[in-house]
Amino acid sequence: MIAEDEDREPDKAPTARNYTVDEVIAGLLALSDVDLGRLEGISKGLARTADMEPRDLLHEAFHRMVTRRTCSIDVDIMGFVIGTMQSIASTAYRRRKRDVEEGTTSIPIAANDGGFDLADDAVSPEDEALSRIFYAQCLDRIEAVIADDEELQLLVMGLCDGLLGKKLEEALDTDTKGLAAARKRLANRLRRAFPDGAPL
Amino acid sequence: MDDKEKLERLQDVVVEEFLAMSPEEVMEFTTPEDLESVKSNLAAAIAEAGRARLARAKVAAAADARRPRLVALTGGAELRLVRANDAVFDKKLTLAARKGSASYEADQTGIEEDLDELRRWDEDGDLA
Repeated sequence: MIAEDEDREPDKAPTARNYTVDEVIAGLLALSDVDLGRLEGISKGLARTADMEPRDLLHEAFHRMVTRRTCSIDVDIMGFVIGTMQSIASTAYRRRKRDVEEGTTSIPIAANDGGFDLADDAVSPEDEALSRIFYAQCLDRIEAVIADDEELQLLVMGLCDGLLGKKLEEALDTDTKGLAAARKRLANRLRRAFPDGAPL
Repeated sequence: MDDKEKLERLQDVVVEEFLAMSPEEVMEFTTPEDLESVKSNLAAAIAEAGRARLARAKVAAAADARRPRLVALTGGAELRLVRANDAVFDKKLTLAARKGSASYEADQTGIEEDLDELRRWDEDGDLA
């Protein structure tokens, strides 16, 4: 479901073609109010990691989709939008910090246009340290929100330990249905605690 | 797993839960203002991209307009007329036909000798 990410290659068959710009525009304009509502909610869940406003993250994602970012037609438009937002969120924080120091205001992120992206590995120790502090603060805020709920704490711990499926159910001492309910509760709790965007 | 990866795992849960919500649940927390904001955001992004495409097209058109035009000639008379009216073009055409090698004058003697020889062959043939 989730589209490309600069760190994670999209799952696409070698023969699959990419969307044309016109197809992307048509696909975006065809999204229903419910889909747009989902995107708005998801942007709130992703923007804080990038230290961006949700609206800016969504705008940046739309803009890239209709200008330079590419995606296989195997991924639906919702997946393309979400993947693009995730990609921006995954790198924007350290870029923003660096740009502020360098005096530039834009957040240039290399296009995923099938060509070779500019090297993005030149992260300074300062950037790394700032990012680590920022991400640790995000986790602290999440932990504070679920401090009164032992099951959600176990869920977050399990997820952060890389547990999935049955192992996660065992960690929570529950079944598939109970795990699904806990996940939903976690998402709702974060949404209510951070109406302008969870620190994820 | 570092903190960034942990956050990404939690992000995935939030995203998946959003996608799993029923339309009624989604619309429960989506205000008309939220929807208008997303729609205007989308329209602005598409308009910006359109302006960028138009600007690129204008630059390309301007570059194309500066390229030398190709002139289609359909007959020998037309070509002779163009050559007669444009000395520079005539010179270029001659040079192009000669693949840019030395001037006509340098070869003139040799050409005249070849023509004489051909004429002689014709005359000999006629005699035979």
